[in-house]
Amino acid sequence: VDAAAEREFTEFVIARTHALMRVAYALTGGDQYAAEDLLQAALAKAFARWPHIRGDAEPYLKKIIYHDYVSWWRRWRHRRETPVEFLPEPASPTVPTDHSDLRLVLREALASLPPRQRAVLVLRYLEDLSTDEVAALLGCRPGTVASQANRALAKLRTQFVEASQQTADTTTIGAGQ
Amino acid sequence: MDRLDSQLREVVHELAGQARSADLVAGALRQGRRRVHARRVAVAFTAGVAAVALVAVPALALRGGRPPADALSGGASARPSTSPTAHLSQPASDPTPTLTTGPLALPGGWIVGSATELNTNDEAGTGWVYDRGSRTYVKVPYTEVIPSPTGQYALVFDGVRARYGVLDIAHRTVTWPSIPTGKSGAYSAPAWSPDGRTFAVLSLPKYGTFSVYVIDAVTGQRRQLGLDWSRDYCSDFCFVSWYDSSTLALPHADPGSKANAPAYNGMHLFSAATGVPKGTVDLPGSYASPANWSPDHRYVVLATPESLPPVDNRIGVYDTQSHRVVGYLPGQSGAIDALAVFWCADDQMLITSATTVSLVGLDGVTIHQYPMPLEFSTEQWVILVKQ
Repeated sequence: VDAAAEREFTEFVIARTHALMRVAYALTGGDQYAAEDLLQAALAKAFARWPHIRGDAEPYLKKIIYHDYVSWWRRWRHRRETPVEFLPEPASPTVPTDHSDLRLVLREALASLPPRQRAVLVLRYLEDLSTDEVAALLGCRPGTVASQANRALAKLRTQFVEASQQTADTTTIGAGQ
Repeated sequence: MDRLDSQLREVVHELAGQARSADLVAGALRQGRRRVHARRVAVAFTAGVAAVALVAVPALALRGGRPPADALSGGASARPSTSPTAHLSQPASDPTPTLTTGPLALPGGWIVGSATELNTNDEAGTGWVYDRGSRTYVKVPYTEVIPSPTGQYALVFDGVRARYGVLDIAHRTVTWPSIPTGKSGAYSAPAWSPDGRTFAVLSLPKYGTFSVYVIDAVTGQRRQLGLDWSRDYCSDFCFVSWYDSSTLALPHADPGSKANAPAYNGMHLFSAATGVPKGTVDLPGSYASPANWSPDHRYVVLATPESLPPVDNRIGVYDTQSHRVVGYLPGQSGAIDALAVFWCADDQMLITSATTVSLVGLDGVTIHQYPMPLEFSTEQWVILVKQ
């Protein structure tokens, strides 16, 4: 990597860090430090290959980020927390009372998904990619993407419906008082 | 588009929009330069080995094949390696093994005990575990396989339901012990006791204090240890390990460090039976398991704070006599793995990575690399056990 390439890389990082941070931040469930770590590691990998990257480097960076996120989580899970099947119970008295609370429930539910499922949803809802595009980026079959998305949405839907019901109940009680 | 769809889209965009800007230029350049340097060293080393292979391989063929595995360890009296050329008399390449040729033997009496695909497209996961009874590797549908030290059981992780089970390898049966997680739904990975009869796990409630459980692999009975969490135990990146057969260890977090970037200064020890504190081990970093100590207990492989995943690769070999780091381990991105270092002599260890097992000296120089079986066509998480 010569001086010119290093300068070009630096300009790219300065210009695109925030856009890439958005992806890393959403993937890590809003953990700023983990997002910075994830992105910095991806940038370092890209730097090592910078002379060989042709055209727009951003898609390449995103691919590294998604791959690293999924494989890193699996490899280093035993050093970190492992989310389990069941979602956190909201601590009393944070029963959702309006739409902002519903979004909070949804956000927590999203954060509790296994990494590949979360990656699929982020690609679909943040990046607006099709099933085929997600499959190509993650390096798996479209059918796998579809089933991961279905599983993830089913979990979120359960939480969302329960929270919506609680909101409705709260509203009714409030209206009767 | 239904209501969940629209709300989820809002949530994801709202979440992404909360990301703060960060200046990552200097860090990315520093880390990237190190990757370039490491690759150059690896290329140079490979070229050197290839040149010697012209001499070494015919000599091996004349002797009738691969040398005894233990002969590669250098023995307890071997001196620390000082340069890549010091060990070029090692065979340059081993015949690529397969899973059908019995246990994959390595120096120091180690064998490949399990392997798990890191980037499988299979939702359930794919792993292999060695069955001592049949002397074969058994394919299992899990995303993690952690064999016990005795090789009788393996902890398996069901990636679909996110739970750990105990696989009885000989009988091919799995039991799923209950691990309380409070209201958080999170726990650290389990660690086998040295006798392979129990495992410890750290439950990480979102509300309230952490809990350490010791669970019997056969009966599933669990014991919760009463720990005084007012002490300076770990915060993030917390994990429990066995110091010896009756003692557990937790990282000691420097109270002055940030919660999200904790600095560790050794380990807290406590009784695996009662949770009563048994003292501390002062080290300039944290170690992941007792396996990180050399057999003579002079050296220990440490993860320094900046090496916590997934940032850096500063895994040092710390000399407890001279109180300095004598070398840094080569290779992989990320931090030290609790199950990635396997000492085979006082001055040599095996390091597992995604594609190979490497014999490494105290100075971190790779002495020899052992290829993984043909069946491991993708990156694997490999765990070694004693033969």
